[in-house]
Amino acid sequence: MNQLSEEKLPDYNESSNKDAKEPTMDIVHLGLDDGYACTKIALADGRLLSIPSRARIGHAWVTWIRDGEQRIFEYETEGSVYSVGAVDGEPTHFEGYTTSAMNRVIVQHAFQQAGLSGRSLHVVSGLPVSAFYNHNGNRRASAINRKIRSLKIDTRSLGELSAPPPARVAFHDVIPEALAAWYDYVIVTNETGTSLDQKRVSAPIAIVDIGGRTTDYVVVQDQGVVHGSSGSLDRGLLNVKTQVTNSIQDAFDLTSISELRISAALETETIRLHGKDHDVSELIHIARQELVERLYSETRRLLGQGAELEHILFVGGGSAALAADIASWFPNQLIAAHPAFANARGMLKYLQFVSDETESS
Amino acid sequence: MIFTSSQHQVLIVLDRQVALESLVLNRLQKIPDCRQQEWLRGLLLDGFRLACNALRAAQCSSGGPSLKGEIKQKPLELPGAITSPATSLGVGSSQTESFKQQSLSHKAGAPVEGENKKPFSQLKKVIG
Repeated sequence: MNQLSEEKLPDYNESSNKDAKEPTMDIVHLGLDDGYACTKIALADGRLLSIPSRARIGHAWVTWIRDGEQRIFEYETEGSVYSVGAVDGEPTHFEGYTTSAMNRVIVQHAFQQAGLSGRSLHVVSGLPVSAFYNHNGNRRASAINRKIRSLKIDTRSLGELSAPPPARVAFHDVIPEALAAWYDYVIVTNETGTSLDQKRVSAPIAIVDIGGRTTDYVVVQDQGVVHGSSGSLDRGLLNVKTQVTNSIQDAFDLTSISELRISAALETETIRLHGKDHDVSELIHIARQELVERLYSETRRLLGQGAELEHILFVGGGSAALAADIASWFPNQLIAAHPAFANARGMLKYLQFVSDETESS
Repeated sequence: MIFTSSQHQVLIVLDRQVALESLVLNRLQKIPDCRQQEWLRGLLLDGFRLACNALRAAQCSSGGPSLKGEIKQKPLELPGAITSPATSLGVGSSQTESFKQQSLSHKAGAPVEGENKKPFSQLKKVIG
Protein backbone atom coordinates (compact mmCIF):
# COMPACT_ATOMS: atom_id res chain seq x y z
CA MET A 1 0.00 0.00 0.00
CA ASN A 2 1.32 3.36 -0.88
CA GLN A 3 1.32 6.16 1.60
CA LEU A 4 1.20 9.41 -0.24
CA SER A 5 0.60 12.61 1.61
CA GLU A 6 -0.83 14.70 -1.13
CA GLU A 7 -4.01 16.62 -0.67
CA LYS A 8 -3.63 19.76 -2.64
CA LEU A 9 -2.95 18.35 -6.07
CA PRO A 10 -5.60 15.75 -6.80
CA ASP A 11 -4.92 15.81 -10.52
CA TYR A 12 -1.18 15.49 -10.19
CA ASN A 13 -0.90 11.74 -10.21
CA GLU A 14 -3.71 11.16 -12.63
CA SER A 15 -1.96 13.14 -15.27
CA SER A 16 1.58 12.16 -14.47
CA ASN A 17 1.80 9.09 -16.67
CA LYS A 18 0.35 10.85 -19.66
CA ASP A 19 2.58 13.87 -19.32
CA ALA A 20 5.66 11.90 -18.37
CA LYS A 21 6.08 10.72 -21.94
CA GLU A 22 7.61 14.08 -22.66
CA PRO A 23 10.58 14.22 -20.29
CA THR A 24 11.39 17.68 -19.07
CA MET A 25 14.74 19.12 -18.07
CA ASP A 26 13.49 20.17 -14.65
CA ILE A 27 15.48 18.55 -11.88
CA VAL A 28 13.58 17.05 -8.98
CA HIS A 29 15.23 16.98 -5.54
CA LEU A 30 14.35 14.16 -3.19
CA GLY A 31 15.42 12.28 -0.10
CA LEU A 32 15.41 8.52 -0.52
CA ASP A 33 15.36 6.15 2.46
CA ASP A 34 15.52 2.80 0.71
CA GLY A 35 15.05 0.54 3.68
CA TYR A 36 14.79 -3.23 3.82
CA ALA A 37 11.11 -3.13 4.80
CA CYS A 38 9.86 0.07 3.18
CA THR A 39 11.21 2.56 0.67
CA LYS A 40 10.41 6.14 1.62
CA ILE A 41 10.66 9.29 -0.47
CA ALA A 42 10.49 12.92 0.64
CA LEU A 43 9.92 15.47 -2.11
CA ALA A 44 10.63 19.17 -2.04
CA ASP A 45 6.95 19.97 -2.61
CA GLY A 46 6.15 18.37 0.75
CA ARG A 47 4.92 15.01 -0.43
CA LEU A 48 6.00 11.88 1.41
CA LEU A 49 5.69 8.47 -0.20
CA SER A 50 6.25 5.01 1.23
CA ILE A 51 6.03 1.69 -0.58
CA PRO A 52 6.87 -1.80 0.72
CA SER A 53 10.32 -2.96 -0.38
CA ARG A 54 8.74 -5.91 -2.10
CA ALA A 55 9.87 -7.53 -5.35
CA ARG A 56 10.75 -10.86 -6.85
CA ILE A 57 12.85 -11.87 -9.80
CA GLY A 58 11.07 -12.80 -13.01
CA HIS A 59 7.93 -11.83 -14.86
CA ALA A 60 4.59 -11.72 -13.04
CA TRP A 61 2.71 -13.05 -16.08
CA VAL A 62 -0.45 -11.24 -15.14
CA THR A 63 -2.66 -9.47 -17.66
CA TRP A 64 -4.47 -6.48 -16.24
CA ILE A 65 -7.85 -5.89 -17.79
CA ARG A 66 -7.80 -2.24 -16.83
CA ASP A 67 -4.53 -0.31 -16.53
CA GLY A 68 -5.90 1.58 -13.55
CA GLU A 69 -6.07 -1.64 -11.55
CA GLN A 70 -2.55 -2.76 -12.27
CA ARG A 71 -0.87 -3.74 -9.00
CA ILE A 72 2.21 -5.56 -10.25
CA PHE A 73 4.80 -3.78 -12.34
CA GLU A 74 7.76 -5.22 -14.18
CA TYR A 75 11.19 -3.66 -14.51
CA GLU A 76 14.43 -4.66 -16.16
CA THR A 77 17.92 -3.82 -14.98
CA GLU A 78 21.23 -5.28 -16.09
CA GLY A 79 19.37 -7.87 -18.16
CA SER A 80 17.25 -9.22 -15.29
CA VAL A 81 13.50 -8.82 -14.99
CA TYR A 82 11.80 -8.15 -11.66
CA SER A 83 8.17 -7.86 -10.62
CA VAL A 84 7.40 -5.17 -8.06
CA GLY A 85 4.24 -4.30 -6.16
CA ALA A 86 1.62 -6.77 -4.99
CA VAL A 87 3.87 -9.80 -5.40
CA ASP A 88 4.96 -12.43 -2.92
CA GLY A 89 8.21 -10.64 -2.20
CA GLU A 90 11.58 -12.27 -1.81
CA PRO A 91 13.56 -11.39 1.31
CA THR A 92 15.43 -8.11 1.09
CA HIS A 93 17.48 -8.60 4.24
CA PHE A 94 20.58 -10.01 2.60
CA GLU A 95 24.08 -8.59 2.47
CA GLY A 96 24.45 -6.30 -0.50
CA TYR A 97 20.76 -5.46 -0.85
CA THR A 98 21.56 -1.74 -0.88
CA THR A 99 23.47 -2.09 -4.16
CA SER A 100 21.46 -4.94 -5.64
CA ALA A 101 19.29 -5.06 -8.74
CA MET A 102 16.32 -5.76 -6.46
CA ASN A 103 16.95 -2.52 -4.60
CA ARG A 104 17.22 -0.66 -7.88
CA VAL A 105 13.88 -1.85 -9.27
CA ILE A 106 12.08 -1.13 -5.98
CA VAL A 107 13.54 2.38 -5.94
CA GLN A 108 12.56 2.91 -9.58
CA HIS A 109 9.05 1.73 -8.72
CA ALA A 110 8.90 4.26 -5.90
CA PHE A 111 9.98 6.98 -8.34
CA GLN A 112 7.23 5.92 -10.73
CA GLN A 113 4.62 5.85 -7.97
CA ALA A 114 5.67 9.38 -7.02
CA GLY A 115 4.92 10.54 -10.57
CA LEU A 116 8.57 11.09 -11.43
CA SER A 117 8.57 9.13 -14.67
CA GLY A 118 10.93 10.71 -17.18
CA ARG A 119 12.33 13.16 -14.67
CA SER A 120 15.96 13.90 -13.89
CA LEU A 121 16.61 13.45 -10.19
CA HIS A 122 19.06 14.72 -7.61
CA VAL A 123 19.00 12.24 -4.75
CA VAL A 124 20.47 11.81 -1.29
CA SER A 125 20.12 8.35 0.20
CA GLY A 126 21.72 6.53 3.12
CA LEU A 127 23.62 3.52 4.38
CA PRO A 128 23.47 2.01 7.87
CA VAL A 129 26.06 3.54 10.19
CA SER A 130 28.17 0.39 10.27
CA ALA A 131 28.12 0.20 6.47
CA PHE A 132 29.10 3.86 6.14
CA TYR A 133 31.93 3.98 8.71
CA ASN A 134 34.58 1.42 9.56
CA HIS A 135 35.58 0.72 13.15
CA ASN A 136 38.01 3.64 13.14
CA GLY A 137 35.28 6.06 12.19
CA ASN A 138 36.57 6.48 8.63
CA ARG A 139 34.25 6.30 5.65
CA ARG A 140 33.99 3.04 3.76
CA ALA A 141 34.64 4.74 0.45
CA SER A 142 34.19 1.69 -1.76
CA ALA A 143 30.82 0.75 -0.25
CA ILE A 144 29.62 4.34 -0.51
CA ASN A 145 30.75 4.62 -4.13
CA ARG A 146 29.09 1.29 -4.98
CA LYS A 147 25.82 2.62 -3.68
CA ILE A 148 26.22 5.92 -5.50
CA ARG A 149 26.87 4.10 -8.78
CA SER A 150 24.13 1.51 -8.29
CA LEU A 151 21.22 3.90 -8.60
CA LYS A 152 22.67 5.30 -11.81
CA ILE A 153 22.46 1.96 -13.60
CA ASP A 154 19.68 1.91 -16.18
CA THR A 155 16.40 0.51 -14.93
CA ARG A 156 13.37 0.56 -17.20
CA SER A 157 9.71 -0.29 -16.96
CA LEU A 158 8.53 -3.18 -19.07
CA GLY A 159 5.41 -2.96 -21.12
CA GLU A 160 4.52 -2.20 -24.64
CA LEU A 161 3.74 1.31 -25.74
CA SER A 162 2.30 2.13 -22.35
CA ALA A 163 5.61 1.70 -20.50
CA PRO A 164 6.49 4.99 -18.81
CA PRO A 165 10.01 6.32 -19.28
CA PRO A 166 12.29 5.79 -16.26
CA ALA A 167 13.28 8.45 -13.79
CA ARG A 168 17.03 8.94 -14.02
CA VAL A 169 19.39 9.78 -11.18
CA ALA A 170 21.72 12.57 -12.29
CA PHE A 171 23.24 13.31 -8.87
CA HIS A 172 23.45 10.95 -5.92
CA ASP A 173 25.04 11.45 -2.53
CA VAL A 174 25.01 9.02 0.39
CA ILE A 175 25.02 9.83 4.11
CA PRO A 176 24.69 7.68 7.29
CA GLU A 177 21.02 6.83 7.76
CA ALA A 178 20.51 7.84 11.38
CA LEU A 179 22.53 11.01 10.87
CA ALA A 180 19.99 12.03 8.24
CA ALA A 181 17.45 12.29 11.05
CA TRP A 182 19.82 14.67 12.84
CA TYR A 183 19.75 16.99 9.82
CA ASP A 184 15.96 16.79 9.90
CA TYR A 185 16.10 17.72 13.58
CA VAL A 186 18.39 20.76 13.32
CA ILE A 187 17.21 22.24 10.01
CA VAL A 188 13.76 23.58 10.71
CA THR A 189 11.34 24.40 7.93
CA ASN A 190 8.07 26.19 8.46
CA GLU A 191 5.80 28.73 6.83
CA THR A 192 8.27 31.57 7.36
CA GLY A 193 11.25 29.85 5.81
CA THR A 194 14.09 27.57 6.74
CA SER A 195 16.44 28.11 9.64
CA LEU A 196 19.11 26.35 11.60
CA ASP A 197 18.18 25.71 15.21
CA GLN A 198 21.46 26.58 16.95
CA LYS A 199 20.26 25.19 20.25
CA ARG A 200 19.71 21.80 18.69
CA VAL A 201 22.97 21.95 16.76
CA SER A 202 25.04 22.52 19.89
CA ALA A 203 23.25 20.00 22.13
CA PRO A 204 24.61 16.46 22.49
CA ILE A 205 22.00 14.09 21.16
CA ALA A 206 21.57 10.41 20.34
CA ILE A 207 19.53 9.22 17.39
CA VAL A 208 18.08 5.71 17.56
CA ASP A 209 16.81 4.60 14.17
CA ILE A 210 14.79 1.38 14.40
CA GLY A 211 14.53 0.08 10.86
CA GLY A 212 13.61 -3.12 9.07
CA ARG A 213 16.86 -5.03 9.18
CA THR A 214 19.07 -2.82 11.37
CA THR A 215 18.81 -0.44 14.27
CA ASP A 216 21.24 2.45 13.95
CA TYR A 217 22.71 4.50 16.77
CA VAL A 218 24.38 7.86 16.24
CA VAL A 219 25.55 10.23 18.93
CA VAL A 220 26.30 13.77 17.76
CA GLN A 221 28.22 16.12 20.00
CA ASP A 222 30.00 19.36 19.11
CA GLN A 223 28.96 18.83 15.50
CA GLY A 224 30.79 15.53 15.27
CA VAL A 225 29.81 11.87 15.44
CA VAL A 226 30.89 10.10 18.64
CA HIS A 227 31.88 6.80 17.08
CA GLY A 228 32.33 5.00 20.39
CA SER A 229 28.61 5.31 21.06
CA SER A 230 27.47 4.89 17.47
CA GLY A 231 26.93 1.80 15.39
CA SER A 232 24.36 -0.61 14.02
CA LEU A 233 22.59 -3.56 15.57
CA ASP A 234 21.58 -6.28 13.15
CA ARG A 235 18.01 -6.33 14.41
CA GLY A 236 14.84 -4.66 13.20
CA LEU A 237 11.18 -5.13 12.46
CA LEU A 238 11.88 -7.81 9.86
CA ASN A 239 13.09 -10.05 12.69
CA VAL A 240 9.56 -9.96 14.08
CA LYS A 241 8.22 -10.95 10.67
CA THR A 242 10.68 -13.82 10.33
CA GLN A 243 9.95 -15.14 13.79
CA VAL A 244 6.19 -14.89 13.30
CA THR A 245 6.54 -16.77 10.01
CA ASN A 246 8.43 -19.58 11.71
CA SER A 247 6.00 -19.70 14.62
CA ILE A 248 2.95 -19.88 12.36
CA GLN A 249 4.53 -22.60 10.26
CA ASP A 250 5.31 -24.59 13.40
CA ALA A 251 1.91 -24.01 15.01
CA PHE A 252 -0.08 -24.98 11.93
CA ASP A 253 2.35 -27.53 10.52
CA LEU A 254 2.91 -25.66 7.26
CA THR A 255 5.91 -26.11 5.01
CA SER A 256 5.60 -22.62 3.55
CA ILE A 257 3.50 -19.51 3.75
CA SER A 258 3.46 -16.45 1.53
CA GLU A 259 5.09 -13.20 2.58
CA LEU A 260 1.94 -11.27 1.67
CA ARG A 261 -0.15 -13.41 4.05
CA ILE A 262 2.34 -12.87 6.88
CA SER A 263 2.27 -9.11 6.30
CA ALA A 264 -1.51 -9.17 6.54
CA ALA A 265 -1.34 -11.29 9.69
CA LEU A 266 0.99 -8.79 11.34
CA GLU A 267 -1.52 -6.03 10.66
CA THR A 268 -4.70 -7.87 11.69
CA GLU A 269 -3.21 -10.32 14.23
CA THR A 270 -5.22 -13.08 12.56
CA ILE A 271 -4.41 -15.43 9.73
CA ARG A 272 -6.85 -17.25 7.50
CA LEU A 273 -5.89 -20.85 6.88
CA HIS A 274 -8.02 -23.69 5.51
CA GLY A 275 -10.99 -21.32 5.36
CA LYS A 276 -10.83 -20.25 9.01
CA ASP A 277 -9.45 -17.25 10.87
CA HIS A 278 -6.86 -17.99 13.55
CA ASP A 279 -5.73 -15.59 16.27
CA VAL A 280 -1.94 -15.12 16.12
CA SER A 281 -1.70 -12.13 18.48
CA GLU A 282 0.23 -14.12 21.07
CA LEU A 283 2.83 -15.24 18.52
CA ILE A 284 3.27 -11.63 17.40
CA HIS A 285 3.51 -10.42 20.99
CA ILE A 286 6.28 -12.90 21.79
CA ALA A 287 8.25 -11.93 18.69
CA ARG A 288 7.91 -8.22 19.47
CA GLN A 289 8.99 -8.70 23.04
CA GLU A 290 12.14 -10.53 21.96
CA LEU A 291 13.05 -7.69 19.64
CA VAL A 292 12.27 -5.02 22.22
CA GLU A 293 14.44 -6.72 24.85
CA ARG A 294 17.33 -7.04 22.41
CA LEU A 295 16.99 -3.39 21.40
CA TYR A 296 16.77 -2.27 25.00
CA SER A 297 19.97 -4.01 26.04
CA GLU A 298 21.91 -2.68 23.04
CA THR A 299 20.56 0.83 23.60
CA ARG A 300 21.64 0.76 27.23
CA ARG A 301 25.03 -0.64 26.28
CA LEU A 302 25.71 2.21 23.84
CA LEU A 303 23.98 5.11 25.55
CA GLY A 304 23.94 4.14 29.22
CA GLN A 305 21.25 6.13 30.99
CA GLY A 306 21.60 8.97 28.52
CA ALA A 307 21.98 11.44 31.37
CA GLU A 308 24.56 13.59 29.60
CA LEU A 309 22.56 13.73 26.43
CA GLU A 310 20.10 16.53 25.85
CA HIS A 311 17.74 14.15 24.09
CA ILE A 312 17.46 10.65 22.73
CA LEU A 313 15.55 10.92 19.48
CA PHE A 314 13.77 7.81 18.19
CA VAL A 315 13.15 7.61 14.45
CA GLY A 316 12.41 4.96 11.83
CA GLY A 317 9.41 2.82 11.08
CA GLY A 318 10.19 0.64 14.09
CA SER A 319 9.84 3.60 16.44
CA ALA A 320 6.27 3.98 15.28
CA ALA A 321 5.48 0.26 15.37
CA LEU A 322 7.06 -0.26 18.80
CA ALA A 323 6.03 3.10 20.24
CA ALA A 324 4.20 1.64 23.22
CA ASP A 325 7.15 -0.62 24.07
CA ILE A 326 9.82 2.10 24.00
CA ALA A 327 7.75 4.91 25.52
CA SER A 328 9.53 5.04 28.87
CA TRP A 329 13.10 4.06 28.15
CA PHE A 330 14.59 7.50 28.89
CA PRO A 331 13.12 10.53 30.65
CA ASN A 332 14.65 12.79 28.01
CA GLN A 333 13.55 10.86 24.93
CA LEU A 334 11.60 12.14 21.97
CA ILE A 335 9.90 10.44 19.08
CA ALA A 336 10.10 12.33 15.82
CA ALA A 337 6.91 13.37 14.10
CA HIS A 338 6.13 10.75 11.46
CA PRO A 339 9.27 8.88 12.55
CA ALA A 340 9.30 6.56 9.54
CA PHE A 341 10.01 9.58 7.34
CA ALA A 342 12.59 11.33 9.53
CA ASN A 343 15.54 9.94 7.55
CA ALA A 344 14.00 10.72 4.16
CA ARG A 345 13.16 14.27 5.29
CA GLY A 346 16.69 14.72 6.61
CA MET A 347 18.19 13.44 3.36
CA LEU A 348 16.10 15.93 1.43
CA LYS A 349 17.16 18.79 3.73
CA TYR A 350 20.79 17.72 3.42
CA LEU A 351 20.43 17.85 -0.37
CA GLN A 352 18.69 21.22 -0.33
CA PHE A 353 20.77 23.05 2.26
CA VAL A 354 24.06 21.23 2.87
CA SER A 355 25.25 19.03 0.01
CA ASP A 356 27.44 20.34 -2.78
CA GLU A 357 25.66 19.29 -5.95
CA THR A 358 28.52 20.50 -8.10
CA GLU A 359 30.63 17.60 -6.87
CA SER A 360 30.70 14.65 -9.24
CA SER A 361 28.53 12.02 -7.65
CA MET B 1 -8.70 37.19 -31.86
CA ILE B 2 -7.42 40.35 -33.50
CA PHE B 3 -4.29 41.94 -32.07
CA THR B 4 -3.39 45.58 -32.34
CA SER B 5 0.17 46.63 -33.18
CA SER B 6 0.99 47.20 -29.51
CA GLN B 7 -0.11 43.75 -28.44
CA HIS B 8 2.05 40.65 -28.36
CA GLN B 9 0.97 37.11 -27.85
CA VAL B 10 3.03 35.05 -25.41
CA LEU B 11 2.89 31.25 -25.42
CA ILE B 12 3.53 29.55 -22.09
CA VAL B 13 3.79 25.80 -21.59
CA LEU B 14 2.84 24.59 -18.12
CA ASP B 15 3.78 21.15 -16.84
CA ARG B 16 1.36 19.21 -14.64
CA GLN B 17 4.31 17.40 -13.09
CA VAL B 18 5.44 20.64 -11.51
CA ALA B 19 3.26 21.11 -8.46
CA LEU B 20 2.73 24.85 -8.65
CA GLU B 21 2.13 24.76 -12.39
CA SER B 22 -0.42 22.01 -11.90
CA LEU B 23 -2.23 24.23 -9.41
CA VAL B 24 -2.30 27.08 -11.91
CA LEU B 25 -3.73 24.80 -14.59
CA ASN B 26 -6.38 23.45 -12.25
CA ARG B 27 -7.41 26.95 -11.30
CA LEU B 28 -7.42 28.10 -14.90
CA GLN B 29 -9.75 25.31 -15.94
CA LYS B 30 -12.31 26.44 -13.38
CA ILE B 31 -12.49 29.91 -14.85
CA PRO B 32 -14.92 30.57 -17.74
CA ASP B 33 -13.18 30.70 -21.11
CA CYS B 34 -13.99 34.34 -21.65
CA ARG B 35 -12.17 35.34 -18.44
CA GLN B 36 -9.15 33.07 -18.70
CA GLN B 37 -7.02 35.51 -20.71
CA GLU B 38 -7.58 38.34 -18.26
CA TRP B 39 -6.95 36.09 -15.26
CA LEU B 40 -3.66 34.90 -16.70
CA ARG B 41 -2.61 38.44 -17.54
CA GLY B 42 -3.34 39.56 -13.98
CA LEU B 43 -1.44 36.60 -12.59
CA LEU B 44 1.60 37.42 -14.70
CA LEU B 45 1.61 41.07 -13.73
CA ASP B 46 1.08 40.33 -10.03
CA GLY B 47 3.96 37.88 -10.11
CA PHE B 48 6.21 40.39 -11.81
CA ARG B 49 5.28 43.06 -9.29
CA LEU B 50 6.16 40.72 -6.42
CA ALA B 51 9.46 39.86 -8.08
CA CYS B 52 10.28 43.56 -8.42
CA ASN B 53 9.48 44.19 -4.76
CA ALA B 54 11.64 41.28 -3.67
CA LEU B 55 14.54 42.51 -5.80
CA ARG B 56 14.20 46.03 -4.43
CA ALA B 57 14.15 44.74 -0.85
CA ALA B 58 17.20 42.59 -1.49
CA GLN B 59 19.09 45.59 -2.84
CA CYS B 60 18.16 47.64 0.22
CA SER B 61 19.51 45.02 2.58
CA SER B 62 23.29 45.04 2.55
CA GLY B 63 23.90 42.60 -0.22
CA GLY B 64 22.71 39.54 1.66
CA PRO B 65 21.25 36.58 -0.16
CA SER B 66 17.71 37.53 0.77
CA LEU B 67 15.70 39.46 3.30
CA LYS B 68 17.33 39.44 6.75
CA GLY B 69 19.65 36.75 5.55
CA GLU B 70 16.98 34.11 5.90
CA ILE B 71 16.52 31.46 3.32
CA LYS B 72 13.03 31.67 1.95
CA GLN B 73 11.82 28.29 0.94
CA LYS B 74 8.50 26.76 0.13
CA PRO B 75 7.63 25.03 3.39
CA LEU B 76 7.34 21.31 3.68
CA GLU B 77 3.83 20.24 4.53
CA LEU B 78 5.18 17.89 7.16
CA PRO B 79 8.06 19.77 8.74
CA GLY B 80 10.46 17.87 10.93
CA ALA B 81 8.79 18.92 14.11
CA ILE B 82 9.48 16.72 17.06
CA THR B 83 6.91 15.49 19.50
CA SER B 84 7.49 13.98 22.86
CA PRO B 85 6.25 10.46 23.53
CA ALA B 86 3.38 11.92 25.51
CA THR B 87 2.27 13.87 22.49
CA SER B 88 2.83 11.27 19.83
CA LEU B 89 1.65 8.26 21.75
CA GLY B 90 -0.95 9.74 24.00
CA VAL B 91 0.50 7.93 27.00
CA GLY B 92 1.79 9.16 30.31
CA SER B 93 3.17 12.57 30.99
CA SER B 94 6.36 13.62 29.46
CA GLN B 95 8.25 16.72 28.84
CA THR B 96 7.65 18.90 25.89
CA GLU B 97 10.32 20.95 24.35
CA SER B 98 10.13 24.59 23.60
CA PHE B 99 11.76 24.95 20.26
CA LYS B 100 13.00 28.45 20.25
CA GLN B 101 14.37 28.76 16.82
CA GLN B 102 17.31 30.90 16.12
CA SER B 103 17.69 32.71 12.91
CA LEU B 104 20.02 31.40 10.37
CA SER B 105 23.58 32.38 11.21
CA HIS B 106 23.99 33.27 7.58
CA LYS B 107 23.76 37.01 8.18
CA ALA B 108 23.41 39.56 5.47
CA GLY B 109 26.82 40.64 4.31
CA ALA B 110 28.59 37.63 5.75
CA PRO B 111 31.23 36.22 3.45
CA VAL B 112 30.09 33.39 1.23
CA GLU B 113 32.85 31.19 -0.06
CA GLY B 114 31.66 30.63 -3.59
CA GLU B 115 28.26 30.95 -5.11
CA ASN B 116 27.54 27.21 -5.13
CA LYS B 117 27.75 26.86 -1.36
CA LYS B 118 24.51 25.83 0.30
CA PRO B 119 23.33 27.89 3.28
CA PHE B 120 24.21 25.22 5.85
CA SER B 121 27.15 23.67 4.02
CA GLN B 122 29.19 23.93 7.23
CA LEU B 123 27.10 21.03 8.57
CA LYS B 124 28.71 18.71 6.06
CA LYS B 125 31.69 18.28 8.37
CA VAL B 126 29.47 16.47 10.89
CA ILE B 127 29.59 13.38 8.69
CA GLY B 128 33.39 13.45 8.77
